[in-house]
Amino acid sequence: MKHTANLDPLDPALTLLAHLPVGVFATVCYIDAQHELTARLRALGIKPGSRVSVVRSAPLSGPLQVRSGQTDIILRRAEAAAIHVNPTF
Amino acid sequence: MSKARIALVGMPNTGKSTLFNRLSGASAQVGNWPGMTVELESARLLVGARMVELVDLPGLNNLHGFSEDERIARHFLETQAIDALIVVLNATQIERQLAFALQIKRLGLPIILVLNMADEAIRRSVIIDRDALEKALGCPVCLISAKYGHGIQGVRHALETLLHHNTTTPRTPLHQALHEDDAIEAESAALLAHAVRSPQTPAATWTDRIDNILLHPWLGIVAFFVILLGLFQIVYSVGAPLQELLGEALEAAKTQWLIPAAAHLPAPIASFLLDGLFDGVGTVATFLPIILTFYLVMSAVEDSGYMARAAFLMDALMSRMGLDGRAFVMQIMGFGCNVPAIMGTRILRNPLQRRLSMLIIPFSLCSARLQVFLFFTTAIFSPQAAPWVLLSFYVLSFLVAFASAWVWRGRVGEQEPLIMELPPYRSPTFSYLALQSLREAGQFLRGAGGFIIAGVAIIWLLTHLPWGVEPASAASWAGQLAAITTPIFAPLGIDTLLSISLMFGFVAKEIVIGALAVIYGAGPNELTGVLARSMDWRQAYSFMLFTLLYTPCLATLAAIRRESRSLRFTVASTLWSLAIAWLASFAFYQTALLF
Repeated sequence: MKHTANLDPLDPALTLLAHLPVGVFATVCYIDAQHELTARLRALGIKPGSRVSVVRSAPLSGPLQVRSGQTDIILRRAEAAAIHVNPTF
Repeated sequence: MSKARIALVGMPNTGKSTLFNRLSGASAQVGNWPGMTVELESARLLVGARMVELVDLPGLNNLHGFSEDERIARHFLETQAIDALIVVLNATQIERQLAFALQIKRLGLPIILVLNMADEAIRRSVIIDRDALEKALGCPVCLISAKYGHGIQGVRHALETLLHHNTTTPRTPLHQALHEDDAIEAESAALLAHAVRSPQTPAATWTDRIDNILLHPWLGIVAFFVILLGLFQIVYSVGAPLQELLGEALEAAKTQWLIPAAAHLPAPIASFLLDGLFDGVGTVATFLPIILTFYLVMSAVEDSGYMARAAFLMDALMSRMGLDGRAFVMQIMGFGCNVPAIMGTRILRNPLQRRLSMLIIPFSLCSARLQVFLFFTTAIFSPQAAPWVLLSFYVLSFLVAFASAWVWRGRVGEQEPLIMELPPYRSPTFSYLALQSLREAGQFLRGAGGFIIAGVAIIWLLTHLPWGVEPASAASWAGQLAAITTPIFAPLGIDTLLSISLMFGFVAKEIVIGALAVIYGAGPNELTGVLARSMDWRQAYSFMLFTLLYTPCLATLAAIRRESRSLRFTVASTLWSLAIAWLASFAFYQTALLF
């Protein structure tokens, strides 16, 4: 099944990956960051159109564990706040 | 025929180095790549009739990367003559990694695509049509499991065929190959749709279940300390009895064979050979079982995937000190040896954050210092107290490292983003671990062996010359030398004889115990008794505290100099640790005297 992404940046349903509740799936719409950061995220599978979820967050405002496809990555909240996503409830 | 040069490229965590070790085998000459200012592992092996030089490049996230590691790999690809590339991908993650292979393919060099961890891909229902990939890409594709050694022969065959038909293709300049990102994305997506099937939502795995405990907000921290203690328990309970056995065997060899055999030699020569070389080197050699067990256990932890979890758990704490979770992992890697940990800072992109990390790694209690502490705690403290004394040094090692980072955190400025993969847990295989730890212990011996022999020889000369004086007395050269340092070390409770061993410990901590054996004229099995009679617990603890905190060894200094490219930083970091060592020992000893 191919997931069709809503990539409209003005969609009110959009939220930030940093605010996505644990266990909820979402589609990445756009990444508001410098080229280097976008390229690194892309290499780890996070790019517009990819389906992501937050698996857990570390205590004391530590990093998030984010899952995308078969890859789990560690990401700080500050960077997760640059990733705009569209939750699929 | 000329020697062919093959480079291994791949993203981090793809098992590239495991494949490198599998291809080169235990017999291959593994050395450092000579052509560049940085160290890259390279090995020579015979493929068919052709001599091949295999170079293991650092992990690349993509060809645009900005970390030191990625810069090194890119520089190598740009400047060195290469006959072919082996591109290693994690088969499970082919969806995101295939674009990397396509990017590398744009360089125009002959490539072999190796899909590692094929067994894991099958377990995760990722199905790859190898023939379709091979046809579409026009290059050999091998499905392997480097860890279990499956499919390695296939890679060798592919390499042999490739080298046999080697036609020199014109290379595309790197900057040109980089301008095709969008086209690569499209090509990758089309290829994946054609040749790969994988589940959209991965099923819960046992990794998830383990992580529910090990990454739990507070259970995870408890588990971390339990794991750490468990590891040292293993090292201690396996290594220590072996060490004792080896010490007894060496002592027996000395009294039964060597002393009678040396009876007809002139006294100075016999003394040099027996009291100098044999006692010194022998005492250090008794620690080999502990070092070997230590490396075995460390490799197991590194291969299991737990290190990334430690980074996840500790990042919140480390970020308050200007560092991130990866710096914590390097601090633990420093438990083995500080040198690779210093080199490991190459994954950091922010040069100031890298320096801060390099400043605190020397406080990490490495295996060479562990030898000294094991020796002293066994000699001076009761068997009940010894493990706690040892534990206190690990705690102090972290505290001083963190405090140093905290003091200098303001220099870092804006921290770089922390983005790293959290790989699934993988059970290490014993055969691979044994290969790995034997190799590391071998490198340790080659690296330290020369220092140890030269060190104990010089110590013997200093303590026994001019010939005829009481060894290590005030009249000996060492005694005269120590008279100069006494005012510095006396307030720390460190006597003249011990201060001589500290001077040599500056070169390498491996020498300290050997030096003491020579200074006190004691064999591998007698030194504990001699030490116990010559100092109290305050002096012993103060000596160990100083040993923990002052410069680890010349090799670490050299690594800091090379990696920071700054003599000023190297000198500053050396002075920083010397000052802390003196102040800490002074504060401890003078306080302890009150009790």
